[in-house]
Amino acid sequence: MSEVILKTTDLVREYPMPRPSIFSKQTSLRVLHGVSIELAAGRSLGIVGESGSGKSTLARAVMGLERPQSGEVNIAGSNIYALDRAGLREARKGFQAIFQDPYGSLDPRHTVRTIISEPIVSLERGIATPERNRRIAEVLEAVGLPIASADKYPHEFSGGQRQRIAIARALITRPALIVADEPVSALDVSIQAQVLNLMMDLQERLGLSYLFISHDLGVVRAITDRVAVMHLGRIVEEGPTGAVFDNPRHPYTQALVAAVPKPFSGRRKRVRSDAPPQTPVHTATTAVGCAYAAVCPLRQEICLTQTPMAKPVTPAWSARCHFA
Amino acid sequence: MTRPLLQMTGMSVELSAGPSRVDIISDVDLELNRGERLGIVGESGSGKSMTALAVMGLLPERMRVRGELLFDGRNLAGLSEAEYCGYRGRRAAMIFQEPMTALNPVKSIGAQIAEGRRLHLGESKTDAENKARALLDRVGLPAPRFDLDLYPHQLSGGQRQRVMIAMAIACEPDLLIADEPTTALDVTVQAQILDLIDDLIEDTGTALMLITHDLGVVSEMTDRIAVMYAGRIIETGRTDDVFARMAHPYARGLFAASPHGAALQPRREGEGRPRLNAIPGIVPDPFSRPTHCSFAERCSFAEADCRRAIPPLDLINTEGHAPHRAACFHPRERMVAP
Repeated sequence: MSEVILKTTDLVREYPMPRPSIFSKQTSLRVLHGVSIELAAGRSLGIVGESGSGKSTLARAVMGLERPQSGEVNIAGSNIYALDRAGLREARKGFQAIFQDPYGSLDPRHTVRTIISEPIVSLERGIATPERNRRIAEVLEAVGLPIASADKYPHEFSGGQRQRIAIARALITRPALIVADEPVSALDVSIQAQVLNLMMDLQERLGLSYLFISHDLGVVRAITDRVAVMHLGRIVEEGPTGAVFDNPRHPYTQALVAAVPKPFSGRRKRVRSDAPPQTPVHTATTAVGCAYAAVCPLRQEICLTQTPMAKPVTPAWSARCHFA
Repeated sequence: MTRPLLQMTGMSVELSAGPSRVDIISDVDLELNRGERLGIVGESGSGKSMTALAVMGLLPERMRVRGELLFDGRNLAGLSEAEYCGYRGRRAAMIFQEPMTALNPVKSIGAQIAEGRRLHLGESKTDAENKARALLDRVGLPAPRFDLDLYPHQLSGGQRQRVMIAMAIACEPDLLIADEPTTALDVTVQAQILDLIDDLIEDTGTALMLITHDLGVVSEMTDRIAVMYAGRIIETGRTDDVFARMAHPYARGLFAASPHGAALQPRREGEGRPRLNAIPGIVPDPFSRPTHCSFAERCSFAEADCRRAIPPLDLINTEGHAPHRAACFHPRERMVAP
């Protein structure tokens, strides 16, 4: 087994809820219910789930942006929430982020040079200018932009090019891990494919590891080796991407995969039901039973009384369902 | 032969920016019959949303329609604003992409749904509210949980989109335009909303114009599609025919670039990941569209004649009852079935 670059252990993250009055008891909403993931160096792990499943909170916790109430985030062997400021600054060179919105994540008043060099300027204090320029040229070349782009402003670029700039900015500290939160959702299909191909090329060339967060199952299927499916703050299924999508074991994954409209499937065929659609909601604290039970077609007595544990399907594939 | 509900003949939409004028949409010929479902597919900047706004008479001020745009035999371009007000919402209604910004945050959902019936049909407040209640039930928001007094912020994205749909069908329009109705929604919610639209169209016989970039959605929802690129229709025909052949290299490229299960080759153990078939280059800017085929620069099948003239939207197949057309000098033959 290869080296593990990212490992989270039982991450719990809660947000305080607004109090109806100052005399009411403080309540909180648990967004991550003990999430554990593991990503091997040089591989990519996809996190899929619907809005509100906690996937972006997980990304923020991994990036050291939101301290979890309990649990650990280990990147390249060190717990980032146990480091002091200097240690965290040093560790941050090893992990960088790419965000969803290529319009909002680049400062419009800065040149591309300033934007791209910001991570090394702040994380590698006192880096010499020639060395800095060399690094800028290196990453621009890596993402396929001309060197002359360095002196332009973000508005001069298209959405796909902006996302290339964002990737260049993430690469400049020479990280081992990149957390990409919906990096291609704002792009058109033809441009999306260009950026995904670039990300795959860079990964193979530089040995990067990706934690790739997306709601688009097709995109995740194209780029990741393994996938973890999140539902209401829990990972309900985790395994090799192709196997999980071709033959999902958890009823929630099955519902997700079945819901994606497919070309060549002809007109919609479905069972008409008169029951109003239901949406399960986050529980304030840990409740007993399976969170998906409210809408699950396989629900039995046990689902309401026992919280399912992750059950292995194969050694590399597990599902959190009593009937997996 | 009855006349089509909506007919565009050589329709262009012109944008004046200072002294220069430029066509955002060029020479669109499109027909839509009652009860038919038409899909318009394309990427951002292809002109698909502008086509919808032109039909609704909601184009931005600096844009103007040229050519013919007939709705039920009447030329929409000649309508006064007052006439438009009687047409929008009554004869043609639209569902927008972002249900949060499209709903009025300071009016209850009941009032918003009832508004159309009161204005267009002159119904009393009580009648309109009773109808609004029935509409909410119809779109899957039953009482007592979903009261008419709720405000948009108290609803989830999918529920808001249901309210939008209830508003759109309130006056039983002849044409329903849905502009990316499910793009902002999660897949499971998307499936519910598509089912709902599907049901409504089946029950009411309303014509549907569905605008989307998602090939899966059009394939499941429409009878006919028009693929747009850089302001022109580049391929149109029965949905099955277009999907089976994809004669225009752009239509084919768009399909190959999307990471759908069908487009992804299975991965073998020990091999690298297969790359997606990206289309090189970017969509030309409307101000600098070439005078020849606007896809030629990105096309891997382009030949010398592609850089001389704009290809007309020609018939490529006359079999079957619906014509299949493509604007390409060198249309591709039938694809090997994926």
